[in-house]
Amino acid sequence: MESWRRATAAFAAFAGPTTLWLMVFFLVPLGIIWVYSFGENVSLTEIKTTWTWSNYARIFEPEIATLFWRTLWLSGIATVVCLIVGYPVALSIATAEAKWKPWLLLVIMLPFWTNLLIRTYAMLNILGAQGRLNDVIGWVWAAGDGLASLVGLDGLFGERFQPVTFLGTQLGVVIGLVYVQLPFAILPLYSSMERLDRSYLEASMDLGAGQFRTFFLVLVPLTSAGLVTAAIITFIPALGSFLTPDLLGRGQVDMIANVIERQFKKANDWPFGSALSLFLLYVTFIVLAVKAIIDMQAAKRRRS
Amino acid sequence: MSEPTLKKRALRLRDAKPIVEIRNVTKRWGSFLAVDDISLDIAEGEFFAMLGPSGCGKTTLLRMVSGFETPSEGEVRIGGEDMTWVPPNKRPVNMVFQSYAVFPHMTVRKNVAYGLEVDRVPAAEIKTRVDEALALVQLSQFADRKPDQLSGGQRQRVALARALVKKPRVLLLDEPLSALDAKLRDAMRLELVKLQQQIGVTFIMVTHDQDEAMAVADRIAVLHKGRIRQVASPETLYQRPADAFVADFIGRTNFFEPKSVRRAGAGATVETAETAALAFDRVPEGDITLSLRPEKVRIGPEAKGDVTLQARLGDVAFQGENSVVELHLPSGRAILAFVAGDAAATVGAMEEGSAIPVAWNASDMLPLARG
Amino acid sequence: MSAGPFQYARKTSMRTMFLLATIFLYAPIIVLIVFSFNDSRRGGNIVWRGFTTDYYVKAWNNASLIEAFANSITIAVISTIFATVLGAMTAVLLWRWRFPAKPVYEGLVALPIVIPEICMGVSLAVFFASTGLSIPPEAPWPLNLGNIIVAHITFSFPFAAMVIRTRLQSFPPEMAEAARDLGATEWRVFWDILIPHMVPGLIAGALLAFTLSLDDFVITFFTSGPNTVTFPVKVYSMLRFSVTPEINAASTVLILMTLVMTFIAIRLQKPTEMAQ
Repeated sequence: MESWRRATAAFAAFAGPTTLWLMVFFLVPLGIIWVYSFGENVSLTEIKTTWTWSNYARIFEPEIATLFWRTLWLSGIATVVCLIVGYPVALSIATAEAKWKPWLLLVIMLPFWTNLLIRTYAMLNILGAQGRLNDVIGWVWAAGDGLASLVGLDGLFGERFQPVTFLGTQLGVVIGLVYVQLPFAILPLYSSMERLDRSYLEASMDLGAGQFRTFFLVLVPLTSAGLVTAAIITFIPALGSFLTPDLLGRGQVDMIANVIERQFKKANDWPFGSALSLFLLYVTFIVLAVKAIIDMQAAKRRRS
Repeated sequence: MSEPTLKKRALRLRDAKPIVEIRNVTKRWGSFLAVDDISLDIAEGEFFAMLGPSGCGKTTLLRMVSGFETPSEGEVRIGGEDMTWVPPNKRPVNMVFQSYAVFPHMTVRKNVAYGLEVDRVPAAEIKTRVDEALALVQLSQFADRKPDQLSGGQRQRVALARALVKKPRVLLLDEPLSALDAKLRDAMRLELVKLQQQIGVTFIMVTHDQDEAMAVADRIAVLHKGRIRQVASPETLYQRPADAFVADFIGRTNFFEPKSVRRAGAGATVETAETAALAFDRVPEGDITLSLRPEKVRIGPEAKGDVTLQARLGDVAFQGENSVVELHLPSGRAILAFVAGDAAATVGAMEEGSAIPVAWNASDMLPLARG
Repeated sequence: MSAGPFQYARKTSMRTMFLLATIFLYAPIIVLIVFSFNDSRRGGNIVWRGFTTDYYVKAWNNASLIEAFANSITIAVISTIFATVLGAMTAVLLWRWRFPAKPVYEGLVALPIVIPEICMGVSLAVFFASTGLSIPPEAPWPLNLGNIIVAHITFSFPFAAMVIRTRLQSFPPEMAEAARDLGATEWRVFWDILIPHMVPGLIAGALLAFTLSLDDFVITFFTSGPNTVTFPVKVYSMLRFSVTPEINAASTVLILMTLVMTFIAIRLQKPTEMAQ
């Protein structure tokens, strides 16, 4: 790497267009909504910047605050589920034979390349009252019922099968979020396991620790960096999800992005929408800052 | 080459004009002195080697000749012109890189032609010159291959042809043989020497391998910590090393620490634990040590010399025609001796720890400044 | 090979986990594809009523769906070209030079990757509306897609930059020095040596930008107008109206396109992996 001063013309030729693009189409738009977030609607089409904090104050009113908490809660649950499901899946790939690894990874990553809307739509069909998941549950129910009858326990399973409601419930939204984010969680977990020195595990086994203890006392701590990355990479996009709560929540399990969308599309309250967007942005930054602190501490521990 | 031709070559080179002149060159990286006030002339047509352990500044010096680095102080002249600030693409020198740096996306022919294409040489001339260069390095039948279809040795020939096709005044070689396996390396040494004699271009080679430098170079500069310790022919370096560092770096040697040094004019009387007081006509300034090459040490019952001792036999390492014998002297010092032929067989049959007579001539001990 | 201490893949529980995750990830998509052939007028995803390809014909004849599809492809192609060029420039910039406030600049480039899509969509929508840069709906095609294209370039070029920068890190500096030594100017080194080395990264970056553009719903949703509907936006509005096998058919086509592109990506990546 050389100093930019040694080739100012070439440096400017590369730095100019990209910087200009980021300025005009990224920073300026964010700046505009930042200004708008301190504004008020004076008429249907006109916004006046009065530097009021009222838009931010509204975020902390119970209605919106509840939504924010729900967003954090649902994203958190989805993240935990992704980690619990993703961990053994990543481990199974990491410990597979070398020639299979790329293919197993491809199998997991392929859905990520498929359109998000299509995937959400596909989930919508699965989760419906007459959807496939209820079919499966219905079969299990029928089989269980049949078995119960055989052993003389008629009616153990109740009168008849009631389809489980997924759509419009938090459960449905969490399933949707996990479905969308799972590949993201698996990738960093996998790469942290790939980097791991197998001899630690062998040493642990050698010292007499069982597979179970080796798993929780050696493997999980050694892949903690991967767990943190996986958590962040799952949690942040989940926070900003729009399509999943929109389609699977049916307007009953709104997350913050749905409220933002409403301010711009229906309610036409740009100042409040801007304030909400920026607040979501700040929350994202806080999460990233937490990750940065964890990384720094880990680096410090490694050095000492 | 026979002895007389070697002599003639040495004389011719001595009288040749310098093609590369390095004048008081210093290179600093922050507070680190990579090259410390080096001056050096390299003669036209010479095969010159810069030798030293890693970090001695030899590669930095070479990169200042090629133009990839600029000196913090001093001047680099090539062909009589000041080139200190001329960029590498405008210098009449070309380089063979340690990793060869053969362009992977071009065929052998394209690789060799590249330097001529950027100079806008007419296409017909490019073709003939590339063909010549490929023939020179015996790669004509590989012209249309891609580098990943070539062996390491072949890739190195591409790098050579690519540099030579530009008819440089000086060819720079940065550790050119280090990436090859041992057998190929020996063959390539000979080829490099033949090639250099055939085309007569000045070669400057950087290497950390003293055998390699001794085998190919007309003259060698030994560098250590950014400074030149000695510039001389391989024979001179071996027989009359300038200091203890050079003696130790070139070949193997035994050092005898003096117990006392009594100076008298340029000379001195030096006493060691093994020898009586020895008088030397010329002794360097400062701290000194005595160097004795292992092949000057004679062993066995018939061993003669003005220093004779009873030693005990240590390890014996068999190395083809020579054996390397470790000897424990009564003073507690261990020295090495090279023995050949019958003596080697005798020693080989002896038990470790047996007593054995050792002798050498005091005149074979060289007083050297400690490096 | 005997089972080492942690040959998890050999253990049934681990395999089962992988299998279940795969089923979870694929079952919805497979059901969607299967039901695109369902001969059912409405509620097409509920009861199987026999095989038909009618809905593919119907989707093909749906002019507004085809238009949305054409828009999506056009936007993806144009934004990919720009995103790859900008991404390559950013990558070279960050790889090549030391300059003041470089960590800040790196953070700025990474920002579009991490900030929530909805924030970017909203800010761009407001930006176009309030600066008068909004392209009027009556503008000729494909000029009317300008706003969406700009939005797509903005969110995809940092991804391309990341991929290309990774490739640049494997560039051996002595390649550039060798070319310089042979007489090439900086400019020729860039074109003759650096760009060819970057090619696999450029392809990977372009494929990523293309996929991201085709995939995007949220940002497009905010920057599109009534006449500039993309495929995902069109499917979204159809979904709100009613769920028909026609949507399944259209989705299946897009899934197949993704599969083909992934296949191409794998084929293109292979030789470079071997070269490394």
